[in-house]
Amino acid sequence: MDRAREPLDEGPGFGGEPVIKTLEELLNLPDVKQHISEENSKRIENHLAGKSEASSIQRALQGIGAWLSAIFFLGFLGVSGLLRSDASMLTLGVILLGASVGLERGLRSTFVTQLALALAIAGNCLAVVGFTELTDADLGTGILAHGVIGSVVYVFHTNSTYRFLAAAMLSLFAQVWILESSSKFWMFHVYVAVHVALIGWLFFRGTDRTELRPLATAAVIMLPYSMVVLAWRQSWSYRTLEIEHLLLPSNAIIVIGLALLLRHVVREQGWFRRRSNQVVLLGLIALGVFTTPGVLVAIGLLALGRACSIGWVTALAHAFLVAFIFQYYHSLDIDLSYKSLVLAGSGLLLLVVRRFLVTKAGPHNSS
Amino acid sequence: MRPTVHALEELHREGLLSDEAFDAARESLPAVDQGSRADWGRGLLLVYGSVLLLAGVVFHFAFNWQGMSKFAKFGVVEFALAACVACAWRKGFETFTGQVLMVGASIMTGVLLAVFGQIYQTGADPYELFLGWSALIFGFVVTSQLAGHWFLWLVLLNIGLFLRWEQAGVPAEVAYEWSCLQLGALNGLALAAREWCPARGQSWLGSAWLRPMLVSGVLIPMTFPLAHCVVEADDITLLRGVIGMAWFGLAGGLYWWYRDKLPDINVIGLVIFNTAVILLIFIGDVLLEPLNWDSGWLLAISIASLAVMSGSGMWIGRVSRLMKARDSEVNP
Repeated sequence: MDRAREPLDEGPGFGGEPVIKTLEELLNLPDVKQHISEENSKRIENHLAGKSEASSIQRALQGIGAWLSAIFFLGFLGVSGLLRSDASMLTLGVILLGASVGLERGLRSTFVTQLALALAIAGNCLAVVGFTELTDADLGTGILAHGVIGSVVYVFHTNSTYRFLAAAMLSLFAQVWILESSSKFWMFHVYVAVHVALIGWLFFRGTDRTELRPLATAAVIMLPYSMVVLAWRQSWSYRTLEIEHLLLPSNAIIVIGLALLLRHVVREQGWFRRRSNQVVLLGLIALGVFTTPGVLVAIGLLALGRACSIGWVTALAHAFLVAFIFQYYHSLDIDLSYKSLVLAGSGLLLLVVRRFLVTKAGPHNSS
Repeated sequence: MRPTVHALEELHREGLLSDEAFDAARESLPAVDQGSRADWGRGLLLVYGSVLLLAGVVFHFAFNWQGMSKFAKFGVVEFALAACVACAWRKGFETFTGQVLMVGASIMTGVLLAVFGQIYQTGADPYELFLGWSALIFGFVVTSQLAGHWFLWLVLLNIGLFLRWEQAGVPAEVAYEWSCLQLGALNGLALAAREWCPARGQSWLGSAWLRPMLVSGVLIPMTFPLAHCVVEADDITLLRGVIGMAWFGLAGGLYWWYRDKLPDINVIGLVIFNTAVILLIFIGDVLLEPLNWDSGWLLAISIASLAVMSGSGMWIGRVSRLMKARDSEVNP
């Protein structure tokens, strides 16, 4: 019996052409290779090797070691009685930060780099807590203090792990402060706008600014995380029409960001004039209005991870997409029977769209 | 690294690609990128669409549970199961759609077992459900030849073995170390299969992501008895001591195999990290705690954490350089 085979499921490639799966294979194509000198070929090889798995593992170990060390060191300071007052906390924090920057810029070894990172983490915590306690400030002022301290140290401290942690913690604290009460909820849209702009600019315009890459990484992780927190808080404390209405500005910001991202990825002139792309855009707007903005964020990250070939971003996007879809259906104010119909209907809709796309692609046509 | 415009732009910006090379590579890119982008998009729609549909079916079933007769309950689930298998056969078991349908059939098998247990009140323990489920879907796994499906099957087996110790072993005062040994052995066999089968025509088992997952599945259960030995050195049972010692052979074996025979820096990283954790527990509990330093213990363990992790990082860097040097000798 003949079995229907979809073009997607054919063996490698479309129309018998070999599939090029890696950047190295692309650069080895005759048309390309003739323009690359022997010397540049070696340099490209070294450049790609520099983004190796070993360096990622080393950075992860560095981060874990520094975190552990900082926690135990802070515990030591607390138990030993060295921190006699809020002023001493602030002073010691600043000293540790200074020492960290000095070590980072001075000696170069794995141990010293990790020590510098641990001192930076411990110093940052001490300085912020010391300042907040000394001035008897509220959470907002404490966040501002962290922002100032983190920004200054960011400029001088070259360790990408510290830079990422400083940015991520600032985002986390800001989110906690904003969601503290509904009177500050309007700031959440500013928060979303800043993160969307940072992600867009840093991944597509400012890619030569390697010192800002930790900032981009923090934005990619904290934006969907804040959506998860907001969605779950909504489900048990804010579940009113008023709050849903207030989310529309964030939805709009994310839709615009996603549309610009897709346009950049597709890279066609007059992207918005094509009928099929207008349908995609309308679909995205509908998705943003009728579900949670988190779904749009996750889709955006999927597209970003795919376009920039960053595996961890794609994996993170999948995890968050599942979380947002689960949260959305869980929070629907209907009984399980209707929910199951909505779920099954959504699944069928996606499968129908897929079937349509496969049919449109034709048996050996990838366009 | 995937061939994308972003990657080419980065190389061009770094001065590694001339304008002509960049333009030539960019022109070759659409045929590569667009096709793979369409593939990827359709694959996502298939997976998420199937998951949502399946979830809807399961929840609908759960909602109407009380009102359905037992024949209706069995009928719905068995129909869904049969439909998945039939559609997979129609599409072709080797196609991605067919494979996803076979995963669906595996899920429906689990639902069928749960329904069976509920209707007939067999009194079976949950571990029996998981082990039975794994046994019944083995045929589906082999037919679909999908690495993710096989991994799901392994997860079910692991859960079944763990629950077996928890529900049957604990009341009978069976040591938890037996559970650790069983889990380590199971995942070790799976790892061996992953390495052995692709060379014998089963390339579907050769997915790169499987290896570090399986190595973790071997190392983690075998680490607990050793850590227990370190923390409670005055209360070591024979079994715990033997497994603890076996860890050394296991870690050493994995290190040697994946450094020299099948070079894989991710596995080396896992082994080294596992070793670092054991070393830190040893330093904290055996070397430092007897000194009764109070706060000094915290400072010492802080320094030890730095030393151990930075040493591990240096070790990984050294192994990576060795692997690259060896690789360039073999492939000049």
